[in-house]
Amino acid sequence: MNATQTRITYGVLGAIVLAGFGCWVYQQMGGLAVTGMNNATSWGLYITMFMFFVGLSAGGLIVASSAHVFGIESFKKVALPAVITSTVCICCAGMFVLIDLGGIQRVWQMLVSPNVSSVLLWDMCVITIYLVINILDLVWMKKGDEAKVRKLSYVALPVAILVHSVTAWIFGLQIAREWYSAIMAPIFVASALDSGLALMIVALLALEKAGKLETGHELIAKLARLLATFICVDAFFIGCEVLTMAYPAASGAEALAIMTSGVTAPYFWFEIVGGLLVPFLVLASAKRRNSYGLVGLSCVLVILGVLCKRVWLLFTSFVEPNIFGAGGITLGNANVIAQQGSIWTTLGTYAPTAIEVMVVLAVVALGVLAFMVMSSKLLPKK
Amino acid sequence: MTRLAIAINKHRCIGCTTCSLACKMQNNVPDGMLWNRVLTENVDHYDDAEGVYPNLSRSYLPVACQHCDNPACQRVCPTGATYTDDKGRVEIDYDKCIGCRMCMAACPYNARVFNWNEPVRSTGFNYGDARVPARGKGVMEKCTLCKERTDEGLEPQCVVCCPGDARIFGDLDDPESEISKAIRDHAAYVLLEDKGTRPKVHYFN
Amino acid sequence: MPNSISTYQPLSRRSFLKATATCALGAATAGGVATLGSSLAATEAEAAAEERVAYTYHNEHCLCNCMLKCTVRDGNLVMIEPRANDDYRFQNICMKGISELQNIYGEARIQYPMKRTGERGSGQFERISWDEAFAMIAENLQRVIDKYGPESLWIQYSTEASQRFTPLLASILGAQAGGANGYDLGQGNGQAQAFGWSGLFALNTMWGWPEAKTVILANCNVLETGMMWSRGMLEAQEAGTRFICLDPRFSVTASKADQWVNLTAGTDPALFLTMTNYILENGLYDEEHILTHTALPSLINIQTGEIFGQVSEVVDEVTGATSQTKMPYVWDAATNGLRLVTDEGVASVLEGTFTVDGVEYTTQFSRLREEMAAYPLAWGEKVTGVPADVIAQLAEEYAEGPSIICNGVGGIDKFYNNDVAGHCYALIASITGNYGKRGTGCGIYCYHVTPYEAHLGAWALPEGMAPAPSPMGFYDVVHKSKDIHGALFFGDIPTQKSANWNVTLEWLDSLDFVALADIYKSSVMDFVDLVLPVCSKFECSDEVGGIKCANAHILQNQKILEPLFEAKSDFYVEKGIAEAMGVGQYYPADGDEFARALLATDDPQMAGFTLEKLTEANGALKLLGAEDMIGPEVGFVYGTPSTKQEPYYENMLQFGQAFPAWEQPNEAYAENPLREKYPLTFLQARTRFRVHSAYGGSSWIQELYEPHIELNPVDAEARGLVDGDKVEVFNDRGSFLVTLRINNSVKPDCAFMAESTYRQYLDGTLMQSVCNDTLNERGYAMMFGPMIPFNDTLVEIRKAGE
Repeated sequence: MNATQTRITYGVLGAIVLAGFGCWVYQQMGGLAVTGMNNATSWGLYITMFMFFVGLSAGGLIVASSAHVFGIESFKKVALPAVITSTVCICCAGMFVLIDLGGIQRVWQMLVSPNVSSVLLWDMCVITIYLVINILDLVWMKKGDEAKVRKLSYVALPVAILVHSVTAWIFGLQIAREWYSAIMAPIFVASALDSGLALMIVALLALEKAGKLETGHELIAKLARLLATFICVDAFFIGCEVLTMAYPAASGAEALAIMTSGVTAPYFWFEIVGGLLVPFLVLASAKRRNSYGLVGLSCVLVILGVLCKRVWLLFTSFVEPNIFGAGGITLGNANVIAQQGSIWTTLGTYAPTAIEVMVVLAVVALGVLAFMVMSSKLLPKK
Repeated sequence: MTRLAIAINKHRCIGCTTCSLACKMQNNVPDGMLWNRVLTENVDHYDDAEGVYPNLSRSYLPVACQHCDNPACQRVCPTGATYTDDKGRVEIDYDKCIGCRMCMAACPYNARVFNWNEPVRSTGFNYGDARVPARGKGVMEKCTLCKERTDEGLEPQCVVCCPGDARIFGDLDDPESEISKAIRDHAAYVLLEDKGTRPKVHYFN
Repeated sequence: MPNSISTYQPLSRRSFLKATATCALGAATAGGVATLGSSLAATEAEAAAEERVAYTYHNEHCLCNCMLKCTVRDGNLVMIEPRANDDYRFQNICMKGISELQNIYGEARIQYPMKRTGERGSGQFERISWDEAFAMIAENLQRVIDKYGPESLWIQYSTEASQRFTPLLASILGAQAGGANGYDLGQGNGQAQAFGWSGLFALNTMWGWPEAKTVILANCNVLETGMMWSRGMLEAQEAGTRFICLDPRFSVTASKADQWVNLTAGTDPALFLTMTNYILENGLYDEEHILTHTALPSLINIQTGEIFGQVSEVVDEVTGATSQTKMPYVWDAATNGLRLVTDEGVASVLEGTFTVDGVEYTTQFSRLREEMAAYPLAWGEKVTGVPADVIAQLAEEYAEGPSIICNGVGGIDKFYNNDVAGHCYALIASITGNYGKRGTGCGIYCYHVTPYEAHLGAWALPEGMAPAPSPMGFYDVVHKSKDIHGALFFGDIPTQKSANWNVTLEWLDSLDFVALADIYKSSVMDFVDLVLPVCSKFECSDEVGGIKCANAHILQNQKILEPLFEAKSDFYVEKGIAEAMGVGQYYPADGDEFARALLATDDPQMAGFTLEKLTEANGALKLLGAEDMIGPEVGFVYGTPSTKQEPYYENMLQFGQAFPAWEQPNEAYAENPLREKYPLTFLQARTRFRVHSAYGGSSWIQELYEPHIELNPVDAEARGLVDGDKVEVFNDRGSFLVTLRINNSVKPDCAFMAESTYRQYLDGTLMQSVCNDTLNERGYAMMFGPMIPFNDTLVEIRKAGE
């Protein structure tokens, strides 16, 4: 990428960030009513992206730490870009939680009046610790303080797994919803592994294309093989969960029906086919793992697949209220009510608004910007 | 201890929604939401019936905060904004609510409503009991068991206004209270018992 | 005004808060920071804005007459609660009452006087001042009076738009004030005569229902339409009374009753005739009762059906007019000869044929057997759609008794053959002993729940000042009258008191001048020349806006708010018109004076009731002696010629209805060839979310309920209609547009829609456009005149725009 292209890229991303910031300010003024969220579907695109980015982040750090913890020498070469993606992604994730708050001006209450039984509080803590580890990792890597990096990795690896587990527990410990399942943490870790690794590979390919970093076919192929393994793990956990829901043909069957043939079905099937099956088949062959193009495509598919998973996982639980009946639930959101022409809904409905989409794009753009800046500052100049 | 609660006689619930509006008025609940809803169970439209004509059945189910003894909402609240008070009522400290909506996801009964926007009232002014605190946008709210009234020993407004006399208010910890007797005598049940939230609001037929 | 009273009651809360704050702080700091304490108390007091409480009453329109406690803060109505009452049955409110909090401020309010500028119906108006409005109406009414006489003016009040001071304007001007009603009284027409009463409100009350074994709710959906009185049903049910609900639709009441009988709409008489025959054939009737307390053993001419009796002249003590009455003869077994039915110790023969002076006579009971034989179970099943075994079970249960028939005023009452149904109730009650003693009876129970009624005083008008007689009801005026040239409606009379809107519209167009005074922008608004804004029951410029008697109480409409917008109470609208016409001097000076006149009465139930006492008692005083809400036993002496139960109506012989006889509905009968074009019976009833069209504009109610028509899924599917479709409902009379909702409760081949909403919410169309306005000639021979057969209507439904 030449300087002009870089400047244009910065300019475009900056513009998106500004536009998104404007939208966020608008959201502060109008309240969360500018989103499509409502009393029936009380979390939306922001929380989807929160889950997604926590996952993307964990993958990078796990690969980087593994290099030291398990002494995988070849991985050390990509450890720095891995931690950069990890840092950027966890910042994005944190931003999404804050953006989703209805009363961000009172967020300090979490510090002065914490409720220790709240998983969200745990998550705030573990994300903060995780961010600190990431930053220390970056600092020490940059300094080349190999010993400290190694020691830190012993902490970083379990924290990376924990950060994802705690995020999973935000959902998985809610007895009210279909999320309530012990497999929620493993499933989140598995998606973190495959999507995070996939993102890292994409980043590496991009850096190589931009001429910032030479990863090499061999390492990419190796990482791709690892990705194929992670895909299998992810698929296994999903399989376990789906089987558990389906087998008794009882209470879980309704939610499963929503996933497999209901409103969230497109996301479910995209993930199964596009996010797991196809990338696995592509990456299963050593020959294909040598193709940057095919590896890149598979990684993108895996990432999109995991994004879809976040969608079906989150929203399936909102579709059917536990207590079903008409009128239903009062929507509460004045804009959604105006659109529907009724304050009621019997089933959870949700469509993100342009504001939400714009804010999400801005956070993503900010992430890309941060990655570009950090890469050019932190990665060794060729 | 005191554990204030409501028991609802479902046969006496005629689906009139007076409780919904009594609550809306008393608690200054804004447009577009209700703390207290009445459902026609298992159908898509209010007043529809289950079955095929003429083999039909219909039942109404008023649902508001169940004031659980094991409130899932309280457990997940990061700031302790949701708490159980000394009378067993599950309440919200609006000043502590950060609008994360963990509680909303946690409540199995969809009892909570959120101020997505700055509250709008088609009257153009605040109504209801002057002692009920105002809530702004970004704050969660729900049935308080008419805290301001029950603190004074009055019944909640939904209980007072119910035309079918379907609601009994009282103290579950007093075995001689009318509500305790009704629960015993009619083998009252709670909603979604399997969720383990142990609601104080009871229903019977 | 020396006697002016204040209904303002300072609320103690403000001072209460103040006291608490001071005390709490004082105690906590042991008086150390007294300054802080008092400044905080001052802030508290400021926060607790000025509040006051006043009392009023609500709808007499749904006949619940809730007594309301209203709280006003900063000049706004902020709380409407039930007024405390020692008798829990009269401490009540429903969501309509509560919704007034929003409704009275809502967008549907008429805010200022308006003069029509465009064509009638165009909805184009311009705002004018009250002075202009009064001048305009005075000029136009005077012109009509000058040209055609005062009786060519029609001034009529709807229940909703009046605050309950007696209207005076029609009397002062000598205008017509509305004739026969045309609805709600159909079954009354049929059952009045048998027991010599009004035929409407039952003579005992629902609080006595626990003494009945069975209550048949005939087209009565009390749990929606008279919600406060659901208590009567639910309590009796808990006491073991069985409720059987007759309704083609699975209404709320049907779903809570012990048994739902889903008869075909308009066939109620057939059901009761079949039950009657079953009772006769199976000897389930109460022979002892029939012989002792009914005129059924008496003789009728076998050829003509005329009652054979002793004719005597009766002189009216007051008027001096003479009339003839006939005391029927019975055949006495002891003497084997004629005796009067009322003779002491008579041994009446119940059945048989007897010849007197060469003329053959038979007993009414024998005739009854013959006539009822036409209605065997199989016939009943075919006509009503109710299985034969269910009809038999109903008959057995009803006959066993004690049983009550509680009729509503919807359903069959809005069919052509409604009087036959009422007549059937009286007949079946007479032969089974289910009238007169405790736990029995028939009539309307659910909207009139105490045996007490007080006679209020009146504002004295000069001798002879009275409305012109109205020879026709509104339903007839729109069809036949050429004599009405100007009209003033308080509330939406035209769309409520006549069917077939296009006919009404033509009549409206024929008027020289028509004005409407109303609270809300009701359906007729666009078709009048002048619109006047009226106060709701929560506003008044005087301290008292009305006095009425309801639920065994004298109720006071206190000022809650100053009139909103530019509204005036109906009293001041009338008075303003009268003043502009130069006859204002006949009016009381203000509400206070009017109220005092109404309270000045000889009725001992109101002895000592004054405006001050009413105010002191928070706007309601229970009538003196009104303790027993069940009332005395109805007993067995009636205002009939024989003083006994007389289900045989000699005066109906000319119509073949001396005993009730099956008659098809006018339009909505099964074999009507019109069904090929319009296969659906269009049924209307009231929903809990409305009182007729009222509350249509309330946004709180709109959040809960939107107007729609309902079809059974079978009928929707057959027409390719899906839930939520915008549909056109039509027949040869007209059409209207509405949203479709599919509902399992609706009987196949029927369409159901809750009564009227404002036209503006149905794309400017009116549901009454399709309704049948064919009147039954027989109605004119009965006490309340003919009834509009709103429900006796066939329609078809298609997707709008197709």
